[in-house]
Amino acid sequence: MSTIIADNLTGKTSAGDITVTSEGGAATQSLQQGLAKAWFKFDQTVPSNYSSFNVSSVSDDAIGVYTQNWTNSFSDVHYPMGMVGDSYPNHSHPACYIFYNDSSSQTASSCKYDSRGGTNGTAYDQTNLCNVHGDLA
Amino acid sequence: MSTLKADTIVASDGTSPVTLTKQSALKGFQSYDGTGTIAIGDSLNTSSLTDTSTGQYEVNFTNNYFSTDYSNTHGGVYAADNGWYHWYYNVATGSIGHYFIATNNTYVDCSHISGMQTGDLA
Repeated sequence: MSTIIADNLTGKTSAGDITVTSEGGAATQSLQQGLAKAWFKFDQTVPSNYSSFNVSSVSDDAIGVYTQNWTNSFSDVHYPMGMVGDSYPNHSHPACYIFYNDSSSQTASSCKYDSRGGTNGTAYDQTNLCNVHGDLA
Repeated sequence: MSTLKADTIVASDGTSPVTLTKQSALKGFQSYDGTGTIAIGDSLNTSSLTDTSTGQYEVNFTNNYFSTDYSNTHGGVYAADNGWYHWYYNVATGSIGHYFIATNNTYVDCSHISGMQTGDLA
């Protein structure tokens, strides 16, 4: 087994495009597109990020509503993300809901989140975990 | 600081996938609007999307997964500003279903849907 030790990987033909082979060897895909571009564990009861990547700052906008600002912006406003939240309230309810505040609240440089819980979707300060993918600018 | 420039990275046997130290790359993602005529925004390893019924979408992959044991997460915006549940269904190596249902137990179309998958490709 050989190991390459380097500080940076850059595409030779196109700086932002390195291809890797699939586990089964049947396909190739972009390495850059598969990497997480941002993530955070945010506790709005504090409020602060316990840990984060590519996040420059976070603002507490209202109960259950907050905005994460990205250090490096995305190439458009269509970057996808996966989210999960603490159960509502105080771990006693099995359901919680987290989604963007509205479609216009996702910009290339930030995203506003709306964290809700309970059977009526009540706005609720809780801990959210999120990973963000897509293309950076 | 060293910079390695390459177009393709494979394992030393010339065919196997390269190992990323303490990391695993995402294998697919989708950002799409499930209201009205379904429209995809940004994607990776996604050949097409099918609006199979209200609140039910099928995601078709460009490159299949090795098995049906890959991981999937998804979520979206429900315009009625109410609670909703979402889950995946019809898991296959070449596709997966994203389903959304409101707390009144009816399927609902969602906008601004995000989905992502991790696991081993074929």
